[in-house]
Amino acid sequence: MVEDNSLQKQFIESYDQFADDIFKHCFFRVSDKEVAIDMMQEVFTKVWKYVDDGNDIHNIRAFLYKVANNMIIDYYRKKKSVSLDKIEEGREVPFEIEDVGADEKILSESEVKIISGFLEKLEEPYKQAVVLRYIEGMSIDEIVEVTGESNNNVSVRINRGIKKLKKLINE
Amino acid sequence: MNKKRTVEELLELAGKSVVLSDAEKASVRYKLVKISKPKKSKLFFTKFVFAPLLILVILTSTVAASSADSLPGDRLYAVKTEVVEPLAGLIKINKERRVEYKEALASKRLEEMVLLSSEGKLDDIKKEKLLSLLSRHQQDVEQGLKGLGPEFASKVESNIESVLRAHGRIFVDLEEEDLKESIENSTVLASKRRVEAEGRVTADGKIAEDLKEKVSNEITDAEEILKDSSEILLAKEVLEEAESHIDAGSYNKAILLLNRSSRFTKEAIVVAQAEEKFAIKRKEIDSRRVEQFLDAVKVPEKVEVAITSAVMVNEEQEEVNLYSYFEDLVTERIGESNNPEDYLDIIPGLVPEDFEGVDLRGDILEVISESDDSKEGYVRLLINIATRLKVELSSKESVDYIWTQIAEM
Repeated sequence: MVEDNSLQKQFIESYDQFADDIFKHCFFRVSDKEVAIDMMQEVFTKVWKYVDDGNDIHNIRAFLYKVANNMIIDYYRKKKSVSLDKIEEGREVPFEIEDVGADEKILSESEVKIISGFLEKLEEPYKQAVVLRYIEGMSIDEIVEVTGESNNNVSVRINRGIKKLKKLINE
Repeated sequence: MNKKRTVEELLELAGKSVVLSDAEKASVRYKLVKISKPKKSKLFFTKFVFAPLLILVILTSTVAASSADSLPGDRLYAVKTEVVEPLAGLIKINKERRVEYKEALASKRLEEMVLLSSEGKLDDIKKEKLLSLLSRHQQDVEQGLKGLGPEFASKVESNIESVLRAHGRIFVDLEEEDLKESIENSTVLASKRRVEAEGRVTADGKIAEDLKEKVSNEITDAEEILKDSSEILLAKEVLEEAESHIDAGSYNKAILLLNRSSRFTKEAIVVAQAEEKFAIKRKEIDSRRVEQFLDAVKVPEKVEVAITSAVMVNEEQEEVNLYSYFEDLVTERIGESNNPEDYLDIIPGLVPEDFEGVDLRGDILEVISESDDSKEGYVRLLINIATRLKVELSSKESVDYIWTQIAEM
């Protein structure tokens, strides 16, 4: 009888290392926690099936984000138009952005909901670029690795994405 | 009074505020452990286990073992190159190891050429056979590198280039002119592929430092067997140049130079090994080549001078500088707008970092300097873009290329 634990071990280690990041990424792209958790699980399930079929993965982190991004695209294709409630949440500003003081280390649940509401109104590919850069804290080079886009395209998308987001917030 | 937060800071805070709870994370983990539980496979009746076993049986057979040292013209050479070697390649654990194996086969064919030539047994039929196999291995490498990272691809192509170059020199020493020409053609192709792969590498300080250490160790090891070698001298000079680029934070340039240093060392070792093994008299590298190369490596300090003095002839048959040609392209595109923020929208390939050292005032770019010279503003902008895109500013075509990258996306 032949068993192979090493592949499973590596796979679970990659989950331990990247689960939080992938969940966070999914959350800020789809603005729904339950959907984000399910999506994260599905990302890792698909990756397991890929390696179990004998395929190699050169860069696991970039691969996970690519799978997640494809899943998010499919999610929006199937999803009906964004609910009015979510649009209204984005427009309503019960607190001013400036009210979040310099001493704040994290945001409350409602504050996060408002930020994600604005993000949801930001169209792709700017949303992906802004989330990877500011939510995930990735460098330009890391984003290039994940998205496969050029350095130049990534820089421009981040720059324009932030400008558009600021415009959305100030409307 | 609270300090105001920027949108970027709020996004970062939001990122830190959203986490999976331990329970949520553990719940998903449990499900993934279940689905990834290893399957127990029976020996002999699954193709997963059976195929490698069959390969192992073939590779350890007496025939396979006997074919290992065979050369073109020997009975078992076809067994070696058409059966044993391809099968051995199949059981390499991943794509990178398979590519390295094909790279090693290419080196092996070159060694066989040298061995036969040194014994006076390399006739035209054997030459053709070996060159054909060499070409096949190189094509396998090129195919295998598709989909692999640029750092690995540039390393492999760099190795191949140095081995080919070394053998080009060996064949000169062996007076095999036609082989030398074939190898030179292969070297040019390998060099082109290496340059293409290097162009895709995005280096950081750690990658550069790790490679620097590896290259430095290669030189130290080589110096123990090669005394007073001009190639090693060249390798050390290039290494020093690379170190200054690392200190300056120009990691991509440093990687190119480190790979080049490594090629010189590898070339020196391959030639020295052939000399010793086959008693070939080695010719010294042309010292002029050393000086020419060292001049080419140094980055000119006054790039601005080079730009403003470089002239070209425009459509009206007037002599213009490269920077003024670039200025015309920009102002034509920007049109009537005098809003600096429009630059990034109207010329989509520009990034904020391109404007370092450049002040945007209205529709005229002006450099932040006491001289307040707008001409210098366009020069600085063009230099920044060329540096980012790694384009050497030397001709109208180089500016045209830059323009297609920033304005015609």
